[in-house]
Amino acid sequence: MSIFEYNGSALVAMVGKNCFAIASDRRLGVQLQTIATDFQRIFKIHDKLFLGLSGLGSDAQTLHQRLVFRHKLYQLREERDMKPETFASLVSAILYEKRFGPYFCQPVIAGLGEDDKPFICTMDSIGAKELAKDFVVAGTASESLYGACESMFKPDMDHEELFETVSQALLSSVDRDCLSGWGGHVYVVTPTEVTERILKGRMD
Amino acid sequence: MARYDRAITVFSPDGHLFQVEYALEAVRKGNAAVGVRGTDTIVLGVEKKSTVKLQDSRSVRKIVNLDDHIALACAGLKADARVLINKARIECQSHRLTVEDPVTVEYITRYIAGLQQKYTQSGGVRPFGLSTLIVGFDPYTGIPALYQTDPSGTFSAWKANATGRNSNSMREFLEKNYKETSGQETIKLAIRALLEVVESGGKNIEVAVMTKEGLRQLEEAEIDAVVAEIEAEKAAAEAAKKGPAKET
Repeated sequence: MSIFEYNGSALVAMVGKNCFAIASDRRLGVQLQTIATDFQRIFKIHDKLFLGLSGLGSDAQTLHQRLVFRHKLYQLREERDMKPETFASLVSAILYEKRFGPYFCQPVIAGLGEDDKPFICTMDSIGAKELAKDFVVAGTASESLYGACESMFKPDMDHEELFETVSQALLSSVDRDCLSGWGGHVYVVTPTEVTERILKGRMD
Repeated sequence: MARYDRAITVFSPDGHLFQVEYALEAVRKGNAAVGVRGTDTIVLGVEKKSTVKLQDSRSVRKIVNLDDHIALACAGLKADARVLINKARIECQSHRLTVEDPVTVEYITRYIAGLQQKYTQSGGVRPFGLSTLIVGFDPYTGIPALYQTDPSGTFSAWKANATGRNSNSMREFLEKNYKETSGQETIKLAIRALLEVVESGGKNIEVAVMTKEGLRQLEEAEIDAVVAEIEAEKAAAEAAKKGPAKET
């Protein structure tokens, strides 16, 4: 059984008109047993930058702590927040440092860059970046998520329609995956506000 | 063979460490810096030497953040300050990472002082030529603290202190006029102390205020306003002294 499928996870990020959404499932399992139904996979780095980490839960938490460390130092020295593109490069570099003993995580990075232009990207566990203009997915439910997003996505959705689309894509995809589910956690970020919502789906 | 075990800081026959004392001289030539601890605010003030015309004064920051709740001002060699501040910032984050708690003011002061001491007892290096004033609120108890370190590596807590040029006059002033203050009163006390040795005016002073919410640098206009208040009070006091004398 793959180490990436040990805890189970589902992550998706989608771009809208001057906004983005990032969503995850809430299950934490140890193979077939469910341990927690409120596991946090998406972390706020700063008001306009969010990081989602799928894969092994322990590595997700450790990687998040290391990234917070690096970002805080950047903030103290540069006296400003990191741009999403820069942050993505930082994550990629940190993952590649462990090329021959990697973190078993697949990050999804979503943020508002210069002029509040939405930016999303994902990478594999050794830091190969994959930029996209529409959506990125990660986790054990990624294949279903690809299908659902491809069919439901429309460019330039406003933040309400984006929320509906992301939620539907997430819930329908995790229902096809036994290792992820137990509801959803969706963040919709516009230049002026961040909305956090919990979804109730099939609780299994 | 050149090996880095040649100590530069060695004892003199009468028990002095001359390199450390020379470092203190460097501090005495540095910009004046003052720190005042109030009940809910701590104020740091630093003298800004009259800016060279073409220099962008905003790029020369004398009061810096070490973490969200800790700030530092220093007097002495600014290049040494950069190195020390960088190490301190890394230590603040490292502490958060390993024990999942923010540093206390005392911890980071002890760390900086320890670093300064190490450089007085190592081969091939010279001491840091700066004294620092470290302020912050304890993250758990919310108690404000002001600490000072010097090139020898000693540190202690203070209610109010000054370092750099003319620090003795400033300290004397603070000893005479210190009382428990809060908010705007603390800011006024710090600026009054600085004005004893610095030309008056917002463009010669840099002031930052640390509250539970974080560090705030005061704008030139704000400083000018407080300076004007202080001068008005001084003038009123002078007039009051002369007034009754005339009446008799």
